[in-house]
Amino acid sequence: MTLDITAQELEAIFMNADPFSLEASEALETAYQQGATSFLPPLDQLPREKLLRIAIEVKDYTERCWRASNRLRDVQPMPSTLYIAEFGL
Amino acid sequence: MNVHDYLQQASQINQTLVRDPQTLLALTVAWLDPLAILKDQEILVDEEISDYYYSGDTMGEGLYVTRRCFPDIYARAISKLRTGIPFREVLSFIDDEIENQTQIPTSQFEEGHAYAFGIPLPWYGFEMEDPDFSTDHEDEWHLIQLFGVGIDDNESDRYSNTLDMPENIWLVAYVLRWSLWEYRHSPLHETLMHAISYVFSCSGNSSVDYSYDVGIEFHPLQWTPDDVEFAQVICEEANNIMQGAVIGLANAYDPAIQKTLRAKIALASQLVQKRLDKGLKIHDDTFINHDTPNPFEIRWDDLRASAHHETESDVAELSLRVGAA
Repeated sequence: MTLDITAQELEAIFMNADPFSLEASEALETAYQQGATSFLPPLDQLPREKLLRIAIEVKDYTERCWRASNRLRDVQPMPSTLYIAEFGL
Repeated sequence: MNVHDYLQQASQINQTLVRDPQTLLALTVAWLDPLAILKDQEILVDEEISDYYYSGDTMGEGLYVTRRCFPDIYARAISKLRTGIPFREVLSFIDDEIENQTQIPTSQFEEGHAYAFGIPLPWYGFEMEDPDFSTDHEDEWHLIQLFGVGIDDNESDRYSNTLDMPENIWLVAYVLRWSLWEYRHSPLHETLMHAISYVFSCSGNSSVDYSYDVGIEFHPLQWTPDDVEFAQVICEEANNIMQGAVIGLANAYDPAIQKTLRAKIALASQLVQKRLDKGLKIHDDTFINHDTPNPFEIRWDDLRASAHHETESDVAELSLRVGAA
């Protein structure tokens, strides 16, 4: 099987993918909807359990992003037409 | 435009901004984990706490530790910095929050906020041979005396005096401590068990058993989630033992308790000596352990306080030494 795709097209696929949904993002949106005027609202109103959960979530998310971008950066060039399928492995 | 209009517009702008999912994600990360954006992730992963220490960046140490082990405290510290709260106050906030959550005594660093020195532990143990010990720690000394320890005060200089200790005293204390284990559901027995554990350093908890001078010789636990969890278990257990020990030491002034304790000490001394005479060991993991805590079958059913128990357990009056590394 051949996959005819350019780097630009691959980038477009990533850019058009559905955005990752985080509970922390919902909390930020809620803070804005409740009238938070500062760009990055204070965290005092959040219950500790929720803050702990969303802080861990965001830290995990940023680290996963970093690992994923590293893996993509290290992808080796491959021939676009594979006559021997195992070659790609 | 009045202030109300201005605030409403600011709020409106924020809500409009986050309609774009990517902007929302970016803002979320900036909100809770800005270091992920401000620093190269590779640096963030590879950096060590000592890097901050040697550059004198105390705030960096605090953020390093909280980001790794306490993400909620980290996020709140960042939020405080953002509003312009001074570093000193934010560092105190970090100390207090870690201490509240874990009982790790971060507010007692010898050098302020010195997270690079590893996780501080309280060291409750003491040196019995210290010449000032009997006067500085009257309650501990009182219990020790019940075990037959005295001061060999032949020397004119009290700093040259030595302790006169009965043979096998440490083994006797160890046997009695474990013999109380199966009675631990009774507060009177449990607190006496903790008092003996503390005074004769046989609790099995490093924080209780070792003095500050000994404790600081150990390689400290590091600020990793696993080590924090371990330190938290040590500190919680040590606090529990010490709370019991303080009450147990106060109870040891009660004449009825003293009488029973002296009888058990005499009995345990005989049993220990008999076993040693046979060439067998006391202090190994096979003879006394959680499965067989009381192999000599020493009974404590007769341990009771006096009818008119005049000894009040006043925790506040007993001074405990808490040295933090």
